[in-house]
Amino acid sequence: MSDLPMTAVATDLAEPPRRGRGSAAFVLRTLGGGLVSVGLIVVLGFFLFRVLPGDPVRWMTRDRPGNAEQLARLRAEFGLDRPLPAQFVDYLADVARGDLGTSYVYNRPVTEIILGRLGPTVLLTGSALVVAVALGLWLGSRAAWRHGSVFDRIATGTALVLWSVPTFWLGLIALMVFAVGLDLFPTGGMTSPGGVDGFLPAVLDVAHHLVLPCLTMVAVVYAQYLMVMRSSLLEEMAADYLTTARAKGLREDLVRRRHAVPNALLPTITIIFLHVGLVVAGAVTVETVFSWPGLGLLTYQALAVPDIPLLQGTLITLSVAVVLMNVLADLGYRLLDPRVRAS
Amino acid sequence: MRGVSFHAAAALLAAALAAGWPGAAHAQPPPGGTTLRVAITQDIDSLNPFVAVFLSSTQVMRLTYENLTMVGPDNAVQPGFAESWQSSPDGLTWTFKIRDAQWSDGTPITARDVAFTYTQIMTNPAAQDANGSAVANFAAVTAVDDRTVEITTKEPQASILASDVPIVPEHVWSSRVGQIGTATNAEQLPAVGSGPYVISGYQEGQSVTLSANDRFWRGRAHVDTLQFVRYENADAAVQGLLKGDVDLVRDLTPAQFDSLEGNAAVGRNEGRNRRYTELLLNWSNPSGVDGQPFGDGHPALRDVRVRKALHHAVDAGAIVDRVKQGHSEPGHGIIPPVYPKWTFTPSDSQRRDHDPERAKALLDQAGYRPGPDGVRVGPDGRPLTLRLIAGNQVPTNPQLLDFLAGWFEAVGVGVTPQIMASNQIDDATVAGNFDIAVSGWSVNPDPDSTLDQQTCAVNGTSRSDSGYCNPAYDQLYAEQQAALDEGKRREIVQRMQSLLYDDVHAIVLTHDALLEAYRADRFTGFVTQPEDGGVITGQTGYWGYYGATPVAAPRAAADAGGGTGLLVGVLAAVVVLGAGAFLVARNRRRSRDERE
Repeated sequence: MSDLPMTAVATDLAEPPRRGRGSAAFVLRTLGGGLVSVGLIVVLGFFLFRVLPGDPVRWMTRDRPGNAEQLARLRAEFGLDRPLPAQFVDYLADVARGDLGTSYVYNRPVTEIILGRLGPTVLLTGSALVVAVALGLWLGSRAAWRHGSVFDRIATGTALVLWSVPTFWLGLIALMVFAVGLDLFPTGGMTSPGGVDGFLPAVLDVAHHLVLPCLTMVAVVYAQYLMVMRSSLLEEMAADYLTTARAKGLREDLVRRRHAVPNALLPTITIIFLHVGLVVAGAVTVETVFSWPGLGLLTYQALAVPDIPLLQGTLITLSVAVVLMNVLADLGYRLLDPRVRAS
Repeated sequence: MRGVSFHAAAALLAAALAAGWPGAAHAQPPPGGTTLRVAITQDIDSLNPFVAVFLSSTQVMRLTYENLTMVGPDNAVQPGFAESWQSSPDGLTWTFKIRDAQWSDGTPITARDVAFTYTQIMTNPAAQDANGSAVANFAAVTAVDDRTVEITTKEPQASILASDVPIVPEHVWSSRVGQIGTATNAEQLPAVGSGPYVISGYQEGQSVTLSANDRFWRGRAHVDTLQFVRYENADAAVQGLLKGDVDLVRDLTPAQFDSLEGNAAVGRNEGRNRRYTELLLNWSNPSGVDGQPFGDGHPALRDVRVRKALHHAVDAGAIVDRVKQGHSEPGHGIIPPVYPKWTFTPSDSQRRDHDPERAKALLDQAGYRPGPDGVRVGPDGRPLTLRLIAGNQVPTNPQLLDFLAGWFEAVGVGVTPQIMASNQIDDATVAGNFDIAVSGWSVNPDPDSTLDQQTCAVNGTSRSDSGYCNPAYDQLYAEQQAALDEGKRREIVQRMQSLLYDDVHAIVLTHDALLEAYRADRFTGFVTQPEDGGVITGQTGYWGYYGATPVAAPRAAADAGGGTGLLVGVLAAVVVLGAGAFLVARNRRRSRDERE
C-alpha cells in the first residue's frame, strides 16, 4: 500500500526540514494573499457604493415627512456631511475595530444585524452543501465507473435538468406540492411564529422548516459536484495504477472506492471550497422563496433601499467567506496532494 | 483523508446548528387561546414608536400605543387616549381630558405621559424620525394636572385632532431617553402599552407576537394572540393562507385575488383604499425651491395645453378594466373617494375625459405639429418625445406603461418607457430628471399632509411630487390649515383641488383597491375602515384586528393536522440530513471493515 498516494500523506509528514520551511513560506504566502484580498474588498466596499447616483439621506427618509433641519441632522449623524477622504478614514478605522457602521433602515449596528442573519444562512447553505456534495460525488463516481450505462444517463440527465431549472420556480413548485398539497412542511420562515419551548422541540422545529429550502438548494447545486467527480474519475480510469490494483486481485468495487475515487477527489476538493462562497451568495433566491431570515435575504432588502452601510457589511462578509474558502482550498490541496507539495 | 472530510462536514453541521440557533431568549411561551396570523411582505424596521416608519411597523405601533385621538371605522375623529377636548377661541390652545385608564402593566395613564411623549419628539432630535413633522407647529405641551394636558401651537392647526403620534408610558421610557433613537423596544417584553394588544415576542426578520391587553379601556380583544409573520414572497404568502400557516394576507395582485375566488375556506375583501396612482408631469418649475428651474424635464410640459392634451389622451376607464382587472376606480383629485368629505369631483365643464381628438387639437394649438414620422415637433424644432418611467415594485406597471405609450403615440406624442427600481424613481422625481413618472401616495383621513405635498415648500425634498408651485394654491393651503370650522375648511379644500385639476399639476389615474384575503373558516368580524367597503389591514387605527372573532374552535382541528405534518416533516428532515452524513461516512466504515 505504500506505493499509493493516499498513504503517502501520512509518511510525508516526516520529510526533511527544508521542505517544512517551504511549507511555512507557502502558508504565509497564501494567508498574506488572502489578507491583501480582504483589504482590497474593504476599500472597494467604500468606493463602490459611493458611486451610486442619488442622495443616501433621501433614501433614508423615503415615505416619511421630514424638514431640511432633520435631513441635515441625519447627514451629520451618518457622517455624510464630511468630505469623502475623511469619511474614508473614519470608515477604515471603524472596520478595523469591527464596526461596520449603522444601518439606515434598521437604525442599528450593521455588525449586530449581520451576525443575527449569519447563522440561518450558514445552517441552510451548510446542510445543503453537505447533502449536495455527498450526493453529487457518490452519483458522479458511480456514473463515471459505468459511463454510458442507463444509470449514467439517467443520473447525469436528471442532474443537468435540475441544474438548468430556475431556482425560484423550482422552489415555488416544491412549496406548492410538499407544503400545501401534501401538507408536510411549513410555507416559510425558519421557526414557527413565536418560537417553541424546549431545546429538542425547537431543534425539530428548525429542521422541519429547513427541509424544503435545503432540498431546493441541493437540487440546484448537486449537479456540479456530480459532473466534476464524473469527469475527474473518467480521467483517472485509464491510469496504470488501477491496472496494478486489479492485477493484485482486488475486487472492482474496491478498486473504484479505494484507488480511483481518492485520486479523482483531489481536483474536486478545490471546486467544493471555491464553491462555498458562491453558494452563500446563491442563497438569495432560495431565502426569498421560503422567507428564510438569512444573509441573502438581508442583502436583497438592503439593495432595494439602498442601505449603504448594510450593503458594505454584507459585501465584506460574503467576500471574506469566499477569500477564506480560497485560502482553505489552497492549503487543503497542498496538504492532501503530495505532488503539489513536491513541486 | 476521508476522515478529514467527514469530521469537517460534521463540524460544519454542528457549527451551523449552533450559530443558527433561534436562541432561548427569543423563545415565547406557547400562546394560549386563539391566534390570528397575519402575513406581512415588508420587513419590520423597528418596534420603537419614535423611529418606526415602515407600514408593517406602524401597524404594530397602532395596536400597542393609543393616539391622543383616534380615527374611527367611519373615518371620523373619536376619543382615544383623551376622552374629550376643546380649543381656545383663537385656536392656538387645545385642552385634552385624559381618560381614567391603565397601562398594560397596571400603572395609571396620566397627562404626564402625553407631555413626556410630545416633549421628547419636540426637543430630542433622535426621537423625531417617525413623527417629527406632527409637532412642527407645536409651541409647548404641558400636563396641567394628572387628567389634563394642554397643547399650544404657533399657528392654528385644524389637523391636530388627527395626529398619529403613539403615546408612550413615561415610567418606562424616561429611563431610555438617552437611547430613544436606537432602542429596539424589544429589550423588555412584553412592552407596556395602552392599545388593544401589546408586543410580547419578537423574532427578528421572522415574526412579531402581540398579546391581548387585559387592561385595554375599550375591553379585551376577542382574539388572544396576534402574530405578524414575515413572508418575503407574496406567492408563498398566498400558499401559506391556503395551507393555514397564516390567516390574513394583504396587497394581493389582481391575479392572486381572482385565483382565490370560489374557495369556501377563504374570504376575500376588496377594500377601498386610501391611495391614488398618478402620472407626474415634470414642471421643472422656475418658481420652486430657490427660484431657479431644476431638473431636465421637457419644456413642453410647462404649457398647460400640452398637459391637458396628455390628460385627454389617457383612458382611465381602460386602466381600471384591463390593467387593474376591475379592482380599481378612476380618479380625479388627490383625495380618494374613500374620504367622501374631502374628495373632489370636477364639474362637467372642467372634466377631461378620454378624447384623442381634443388632445390633438390642444397640441396643435400649443404649436406642436405632426412631424414626418408621426411624432409632433415643437416650434423650436425639438420633437415631442417624452421619457415615461415607472417603478418595478408594482406588478402591473409594465402593462400600464404599454397602454400609456399607445395612447400618447396615438395623438402624436413619442414616448420612451422605462421600468426602474423604486429608489431610482425617487431620485429622478426628486431631482426633476424625468418627463412623466408613474407615482402614488397614501392619504390620511385628515388631508393636511397630502395638500401640503403640492405646496412650493416641498419641492426638492423627498416629498416633492411634480414640482408644482402656485402661490395661489399656497395661500389657500394656509387658509385651510387655520380654518377650525370644518364646513369652511371643506370648501377651501375643494377650491384647492379644483385649482390643481385646472393646472393639471399631475394626472390622477386611479384609486386602487387593497386586495385582502382571510381564512373565513377561522375568523370573522373584521371591521373595515370605512365600514362600508373599506380595508382590514393598513387602517389608520386598530379596528380591523380588534373586531376579529374566532369561528367556533377551528384551530384544534388545524393543529392536529399540523401536528401530523410536523411529525412527518421532522422525519423527512432527519432522513435527508442523515442520508448526507451516511453517504459521507459510508465509504469510511466499509473500507475499515475490509482493511487488509
